[in-house]
Formats: sequence, C-alpha cells, structure tokens
Amino acid sequence: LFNSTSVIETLERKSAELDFLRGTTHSIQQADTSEGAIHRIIEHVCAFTRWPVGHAYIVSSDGHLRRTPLWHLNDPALFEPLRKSIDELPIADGIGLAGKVLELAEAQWVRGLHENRHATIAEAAKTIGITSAFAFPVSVNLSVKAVLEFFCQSDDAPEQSFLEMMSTLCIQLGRTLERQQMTELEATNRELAASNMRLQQAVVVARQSSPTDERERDRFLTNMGHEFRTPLTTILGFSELLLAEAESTGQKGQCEDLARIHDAATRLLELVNGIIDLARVQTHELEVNIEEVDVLRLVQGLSESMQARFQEKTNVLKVNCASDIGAMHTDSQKILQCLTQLITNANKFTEAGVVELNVNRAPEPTDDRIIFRVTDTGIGMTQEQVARLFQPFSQVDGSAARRHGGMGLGLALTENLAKLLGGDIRIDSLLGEGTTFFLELPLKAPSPSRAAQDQTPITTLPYG
Amino acid sequence: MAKILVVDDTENNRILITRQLQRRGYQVLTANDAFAGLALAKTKEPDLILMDIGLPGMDGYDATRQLKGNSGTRTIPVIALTAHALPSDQDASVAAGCDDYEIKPIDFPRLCKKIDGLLASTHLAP
Repeated sequence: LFNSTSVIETLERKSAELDFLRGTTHSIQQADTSEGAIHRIIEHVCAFTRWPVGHAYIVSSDGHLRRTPLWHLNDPALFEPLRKSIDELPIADGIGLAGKVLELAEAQWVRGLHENRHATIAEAAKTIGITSAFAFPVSVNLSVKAVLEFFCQSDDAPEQSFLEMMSTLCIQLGRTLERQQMTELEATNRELAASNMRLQQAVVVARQSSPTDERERDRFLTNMGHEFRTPLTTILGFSELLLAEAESTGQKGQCEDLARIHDAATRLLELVNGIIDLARVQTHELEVNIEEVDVLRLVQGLSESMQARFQEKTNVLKVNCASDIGAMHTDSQKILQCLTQLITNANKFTEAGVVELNVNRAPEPTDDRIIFRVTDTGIGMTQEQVARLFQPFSQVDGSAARRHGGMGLGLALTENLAKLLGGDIRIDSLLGEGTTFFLELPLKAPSPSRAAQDQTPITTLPYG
Repeated sequence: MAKILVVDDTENNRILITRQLQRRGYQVLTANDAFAGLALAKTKEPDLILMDIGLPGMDGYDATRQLKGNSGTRTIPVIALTAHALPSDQDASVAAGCDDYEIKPIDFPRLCKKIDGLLASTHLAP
C-alpha cells in the first residue's frame, strides 16, 4: 500500500513534468519574437516551480551580458525593490550569477542571498524572504545567447530531474531563438533591399540635379564595367570550352551544370553591357551610325534570332510587317537593341502566350515615322508600375523580379536609345491583361552632333 | 593543317583560344606580346594571326602595321581581337591593316567562319 501511493505520486509528478515540458515547448515555439519566447519560458518556469521572480539577460553580439526588461514578478509591489537592486548591479563576464553562467555555459545555483555581499540584495532578499537563485544558460550553436535567472523562497537543492527539464527547455528555446534570428535576418535583408532600391531611385533623381556628378558616375560605371568584362569573358570562355569538351565525351550531367554556369555568366555580361551602354548614352558617348535600313529585313532577322528563346518558354512570336514598309535612315543596331529588349521583356512576363510585333508607318499626312508595337498577353502592370518602369534598377515588384530575373536596366536603356534616334517609347498596360510597348522612330534619325567629326563610313557590329 | 598565331598578353585568353582552335583542327602558336608575336610571325610563318589590340608596350594596331609593312609577313591575314564594340575600335583596326576583327568575348563558331574565309583565299582551311 505504501509503495503504491508512492508510485502514484511519482506518476503524477512525472505527468505534471511532462505537461510542463510540452506546454512550455509549444508556447515558446508559438512566440513571434525572441523576446516573446524568452518571456514565455520565464512565465512557464515560474508557474511550474512557484518561484516568485524570474528574468533574463541577453548576450549581445560582442559577447557581453545585456539587461532586458523581461521580468516576471509574482507580486510586483512586493518584489519591485529586488528587481531594482538587481538592475542596479554592475554586470560583467564571470561576475555574479549570470556572469558565471555565461562564462561556464552551465546552470548555477546560489543560496544564502540574505547574506549576499551586495548590501542592497541582502536587504531586499531579507525583506521579502528570498533565499536562493538559479540561473540557466540558453545556447545557440554552443555559444550562450541568453541567461535565465530565477529567485526562490527556499534553500532546497534542485532535483536532478528538474535540472534535466530545464536543460531540455533551454535547448528548445535556443533553437527557437536561432530560428527567430534567421527570420529577423531575413526581415533585415528585405529592409536593406528596399532601402537599396530607394537609394538607387534617389540616385536617379539626384542625377538630374547634378550633371557633373552624373558624368563622373557614368564614367566610373563605364570603366568599372570594362573591368568586369575581362574576368567575365574568362568565365564565359572556359565554361563554353568545358561544355563543348563534355558534350563530345558524352558527360551529360556535367553538360547541364556547365550550361548553367555559362547561362549565368551570359546574363551577367548582358547586365554589365547594359550598364556600360546606359552610362555611355547618358554621357553622350554612344556613337550613332546612320545608314539605310531595310525595315522588313531587320524585323525578319530579329524574329529568327528570337525563336529559340520563345520555344524555351512555349510562347509564340508573331511578326506583322508589310513587305512595302520601306527603308529608314537610322542606326539599325540600336533599333535591334531596343526591339530585342522589348520582345525579350514581353517573353519574360508571358507564360504560354503570344507576343506580337506589329510594324507600321505612321498614318498620313505625316508619314514620317515607323511605329513598332510589341504586345504581350502577359501579367500586365498598374499605372503606378508603368510610371516607375523606365527608371534604371526599377522593377514592377520584387516577387516578379525573382520569378523572371533581370533588372529594369534594359528598359531605361531602350528609352534612352529611342530618344537618341529621335523617337520615344509609350506603354499601354492593364494588370492581368498584358502590355503593349510603342516604339516610335522617325524615318530619318537626327544627325548626332559627334558624327561630324567622323567622316569615314562606319560598319556596325552586333554588340558584345 | 592551318597554323594560327595567337598574340594575347592574357594567359587565360591564350589557353582558351588555343584549346578552342586545337579542338577544331588548327595548329596553334602563341605569343604574349607584340614583340614575341612579330618574331614568331617571321620565323614560323603562320597562316593567320589573331592579334589582341590591348597589348602592353606595342599595341596590336602597331604590331599589325609592322606586319603589313614587311614583305615577309604582309600576306598573312590578321584578325584583330578587340574588347569593345565601339565603331572607333573597328575603324582603327581597319586602318591598321587588319583583315577582320572579333569582339571579345569571342564567339568561336563566328571567329572560325572568319578564319576559314580568310584561309580559303589562300586554300588553307583545315
């Protein structure tokens, strides 16, 4: 009989301990912030042990203890003097209970608080009957990130089973803190990205007000871009070589990886080229090479060169251009650059849809322009998004950027090139229904001011 | 087998061009500056020269001028390798006597078409 009572008691105690473990673990996992999780564990421990006072120190990134406002006071009026005296104690590594826990990274227990060498603590402890204190380390990846400290009104030594429970809970809390740190890091990253975006937009605005800085910045970008091209060229060249070699020896797995490296390097090079071009067009260093351009041939050539990219995305490119559209006197490479950008963009933001390129002469009586219309059946944009579209580095939104890659750089460049050729770009877009870009270019591009210096006929080459 | 001299001061470029040309059946000689390139052009009599423009000391334009001004090397076709697509670079390479030019990063299928086109006039395509 005696034994069975004690068994029941043991079982009941075990059951309560399990509830405590389960409840506390669940509660700290549900916390939204690190502070929240720490506060919850203090509450649960105090409730389970009936300890009247608990609080936490956080270890700052430089490895020192930092006070927190995370306190549990069973009876605020009664225990406030203790809290005050603790908060006034100097904190240092290896000193005091929490300092020792930080140094040794293990739980510590101290009794006889009413005789503590800090008079204020001894006094406070005596008044309210506090006699001992427990402190536990909370570790993330083997380093102590927080110390939990509790005060109690008895001098009994802690039971082994309780110490084990606390150790389990502190491990759980450590994992939660680690997870919280990750999400906090992610949030910080998002904020950084957002402020970076704002900064870049500010740069665009600032450029208009400071033409000298603008020129210097653009020169810097040009030079930097060229510095980037050399190592990039090496990466591109060797990945291409290795790819060709792997293909000829039939190493399929390697081919895919090398193709990925090659694609990434190609994208990076396109970006660097875009930055160089944008900088050059803005410092008026981009040369315009006017020649007679057969519009139909130009459009057909472009359509052929784009087919592969459309097949990859199961989109269709339709080109409508009258065979008697005629010729322009302009820079064919720059038109190609603009159209390639607009069509690539349309392809990017369209899934299993149609992109149309319609080419028409401006109607009578003017008949002095060619209008290239690029229409897609893609995701479309709001008016606000359209307004921001031509700013370099702008993008419709972050998620779309991640899905489709690339930057808003290309459109800013396209607009600059269109203006360089005496034309302009307009957009019609409806969210969810697709977008149409209108590239309007005069039949005769204005003679560039710099062209006069250069009398020799200029051959044009595809860029990059 | 056509013998091609590659003049480029960047080791990575020399390795890359050599291997890309070798796997397409060309024989390749390399020089790391214009002076070594000119010496090799005279002694080894390559069938074609790929000349980087941004060489230290003597640049690729001056080296090409010397090649084209020397009776022993005048007939060797020279393809300039330029880092930029600037029309001014292209003009300069034409003015220096280059027979063609290729912009880096090199598009090897395109470059080989140019090489074969120039070699065909001397019946030396690989």
